[in-house]
Amino acid sequence: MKKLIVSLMVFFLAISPVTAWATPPGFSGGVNNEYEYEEVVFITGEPIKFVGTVDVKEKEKDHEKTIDYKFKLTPEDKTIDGKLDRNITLLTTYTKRDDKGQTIGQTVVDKYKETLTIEKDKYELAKDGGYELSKSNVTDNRPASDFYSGNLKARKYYTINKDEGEVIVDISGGNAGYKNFWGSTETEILDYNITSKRNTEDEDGDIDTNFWHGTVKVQVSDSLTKTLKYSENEADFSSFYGGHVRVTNSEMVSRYEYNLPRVEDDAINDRRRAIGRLQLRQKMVPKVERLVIPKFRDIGGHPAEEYIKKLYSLDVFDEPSTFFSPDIPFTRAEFIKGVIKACNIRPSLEEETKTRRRRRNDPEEISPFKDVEVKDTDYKYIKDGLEKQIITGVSDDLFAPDQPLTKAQAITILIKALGFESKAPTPGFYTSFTDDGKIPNWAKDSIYVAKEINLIHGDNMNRINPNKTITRAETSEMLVRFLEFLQKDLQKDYRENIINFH
Amino acid sequence: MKKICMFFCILLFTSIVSYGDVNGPYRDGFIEGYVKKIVDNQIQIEEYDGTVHLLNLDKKVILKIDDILVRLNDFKPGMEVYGELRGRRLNHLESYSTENMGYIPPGGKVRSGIVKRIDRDQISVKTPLGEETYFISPATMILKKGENVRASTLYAGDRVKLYFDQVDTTSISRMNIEGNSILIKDLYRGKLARADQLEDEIILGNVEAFHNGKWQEDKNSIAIPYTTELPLYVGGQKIPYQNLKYYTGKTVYMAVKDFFGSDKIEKMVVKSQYESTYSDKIEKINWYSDTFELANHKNIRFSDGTMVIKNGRLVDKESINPNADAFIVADGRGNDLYADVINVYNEDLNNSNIGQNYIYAGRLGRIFEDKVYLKDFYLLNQHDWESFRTRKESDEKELFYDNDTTIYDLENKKYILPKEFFAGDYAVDEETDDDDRIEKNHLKDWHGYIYTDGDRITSIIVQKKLDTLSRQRVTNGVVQKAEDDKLVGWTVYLTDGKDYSQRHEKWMAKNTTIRVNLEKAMIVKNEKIISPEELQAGDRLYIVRDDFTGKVVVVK
Repeated sequence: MKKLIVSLMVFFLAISPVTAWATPPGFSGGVNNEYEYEEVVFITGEPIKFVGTVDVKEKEKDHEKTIDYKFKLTPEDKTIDGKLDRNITLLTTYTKRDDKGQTIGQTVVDKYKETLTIEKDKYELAKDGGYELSKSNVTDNRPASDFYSGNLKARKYYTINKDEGEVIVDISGGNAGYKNFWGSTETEILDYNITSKRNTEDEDGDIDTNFWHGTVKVQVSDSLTKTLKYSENEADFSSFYGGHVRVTNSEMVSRYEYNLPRVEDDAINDRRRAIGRLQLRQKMVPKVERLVIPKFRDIGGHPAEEYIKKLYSLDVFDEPSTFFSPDIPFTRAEFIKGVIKACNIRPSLEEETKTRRRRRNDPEEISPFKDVEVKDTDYKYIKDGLEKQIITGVSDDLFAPDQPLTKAQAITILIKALGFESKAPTPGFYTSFTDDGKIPNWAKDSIYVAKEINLIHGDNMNRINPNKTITRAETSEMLVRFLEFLQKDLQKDYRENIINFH
Repeated sequence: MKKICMFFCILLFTSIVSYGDVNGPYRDGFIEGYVKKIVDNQIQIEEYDGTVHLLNLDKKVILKIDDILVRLNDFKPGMEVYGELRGRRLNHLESYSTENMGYIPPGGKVRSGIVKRIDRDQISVKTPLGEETYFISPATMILKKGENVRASTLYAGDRVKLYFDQVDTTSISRMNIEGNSILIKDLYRGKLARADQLEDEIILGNVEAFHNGKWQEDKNSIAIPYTTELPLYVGGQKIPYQNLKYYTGKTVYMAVKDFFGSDKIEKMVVKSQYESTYSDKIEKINWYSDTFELANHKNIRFSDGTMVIKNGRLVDKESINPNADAFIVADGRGNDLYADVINVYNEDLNNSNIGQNYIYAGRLGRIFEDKVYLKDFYLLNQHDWESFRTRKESDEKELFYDNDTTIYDLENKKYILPKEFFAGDYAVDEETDDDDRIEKNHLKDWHGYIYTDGDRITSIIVQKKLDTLSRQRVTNGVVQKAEDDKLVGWTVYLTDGKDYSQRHEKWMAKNTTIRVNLEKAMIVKNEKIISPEELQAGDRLYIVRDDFTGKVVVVK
């Protein structure tokens, strides 16, 4: 029995999902890697860089998630005698709106404790109501990627040496992020408004009150991307030339832009300003994964060779023969399977089979299409595509899995996987392609959006040829570009394009 | 008779009623009217004449709103519809719902890219979709790093995000310009020690940075990440990044940007043969053979792989122009030279022809409530003071000022209000005999340095006497640091400084760091006077100076 319990525990530990984290820790603009954490503290009136460790613990239960942060930091400048200890527990409650494919998360501070000592001064987060935070995020769960954005308001009250004064930090800001198999990025923009009031006793015993005011703009981004790199085989007498490696890179960057009072001879002068900028960056050790080696005989020298090899390495094509036949049309079933595999969208049926055994008396599954049988190998992908509304049949009860895929169909499937079709203008617009008139009505939105996000481009005559069947090689090119969009384009849009333009 | 009348009346009456022909749609094969109700797989349609039909759907029914396939539930009671029938079943139903055809929300169309050319209100932008031309209108909102700025701030080579309000418009509604992160921070030269393709990073030995006109030792060994957005070239030949490892031991030139406090290579070129460097004027460019001729008659080839830096920004080779003063790293042997790097260091007061900024110096002849007339004034033309003698009043230069003009009195070291400027003794009638006060106090006209936008004074500093302008020269450079010196006050240190030589008509590179005092200078940034402490390392300055004393400083 004991063994059973232990093995069960091990089993559950093993299957509990390891969340690839891409959220900057706390709301302090700090960055970390596996080893150390760093942030800049402003509440003393001067920017002081602290380094140390952060310990993050996450617990997820039903619709709740708690995150514990434990920071232990000391100033980077060793001549400053100081220490910062901060414990925060954030509680997020999720409301799932399955009907809309969206999730709303509401975050509050559950527990907190923070003390900062600099030389002889001690700043402490007041006990009751010293830290109030309200953060709300909405996530649009699309088949190929989740997109989210949120807002935040918070206020922190620090006491100085218990009764010598207080520092109030008003925080407001927001975030934007995405998360998919190929990468995730979250960028936070926070504005701190710091006001400090401090009473000091002068030589005559009179009490002087010193005020100062400062603003800090913090932009912090945590980003993870997976890229495919080709690595050559150093040995010549080998059965293969080289293969692809999937490299997962993750890094955090942050920028503080401050406008603080000038500190002159240890006294704070609120009238003169110290304006500056500080930047931090931490990078994790990349993770490398080797992928299978494609060995096709007929793609050498083909313009799409590189793309086909990449996708084959990712198991997107499971072509058993040594002939890939790049120039024959791709079928509808193959494509939907390819998209689902490329984005690593896990078919819901695969998950079900694990739990299925218990319910043996369930009614037998009926295929939604007459021409796709439940026992077909591609059935689960087609069913999943249908459930996630990436695809539709050619009619109510026919899917035509073996029919060649047209370009318009391929583009529509990719754009629906991203959930971007809703970004097209209201009906009655024209795309910029010269053969706009040939675009079927159902594909117009997708083709417009695909052009906007640079997923597709016209041919020499600026035609898109929507009704032409698309070959295996062309499909590979389009899929590789789609993956690149998920890796690079999104990262740039969510990080560089936000931080460098704000 | 009565009976006949009655009969006709009844006939007429019944015919009106039966005018709503219940079988009409089935006979004609189409139905028009309003949706009344939707029940399960049936739809109730009220014809224009009021007849109500409950219709079953055909198995292969096509339902469309605005030409887009929809489900039955998308039809709402009250919608005007047109349907086609097969037998008594509906096999096609369509409606229109959109009020604004082809509408996108304001800013719903976005383009991002690099500005290639600026011509007044017309800018060409290189986007991933190709090169496109857009227009700036007076209503265009222009933001640089979140701050509302004028169009004249824009440079060729800037990265912009453009927002449009309509699908097919070329008129920009909002333009976001990337901040200083666009600037090339350093030009490095180093020996490739290792290329790590998995992390897109290279390890370099003997790293030198190009500063003050020469390669200066920087670091012994560093690892720098690179971006693969721009292609890699070896002596004019494009090579894939994965082959970079075969060039270990070779010299690499790199344009480095700041990436959150650390270096990141934006573009690199691998040296193929032997290096020679030139600092000279590009006289002629032959676009057919992609060759340019320097003032020293050297002919040098260039290509898309040439690293071209202009105004601190990476630009395309098309942006090189004749008469540019440049530092060139050439690669080759003998007369067969290819340019690996072209660093154009010309600097102008205006970033593009949008800007109409001028610098004047002169005597404040007459001051009115909203304008000033300059007597015997000087205009900075081609980086040199050009003198204008005014013999009669109509020759005097008329410049306007307003409440937004910043006026600084250098003698009393304070900002003055436009009203004080008008009422004060900054301009007096020197020749008058009637005014004892002027005679007694020996009052004279003051002089000023004036930064204008067209004929409008943006900012002006005034002092009692005019400086010797012939001693002054124009310098540009990059701020290394600005500090409040204990002895002389605020002083800025400039690297990569260049003086404009009137005799050679070109910018002469300096090989030392220049110090310029700012205590008596007018520092202008984004059309406003700023204090010296607001200068940031990396800012590019255009300075009119008298040796150590800065007079007019413009932050570019």
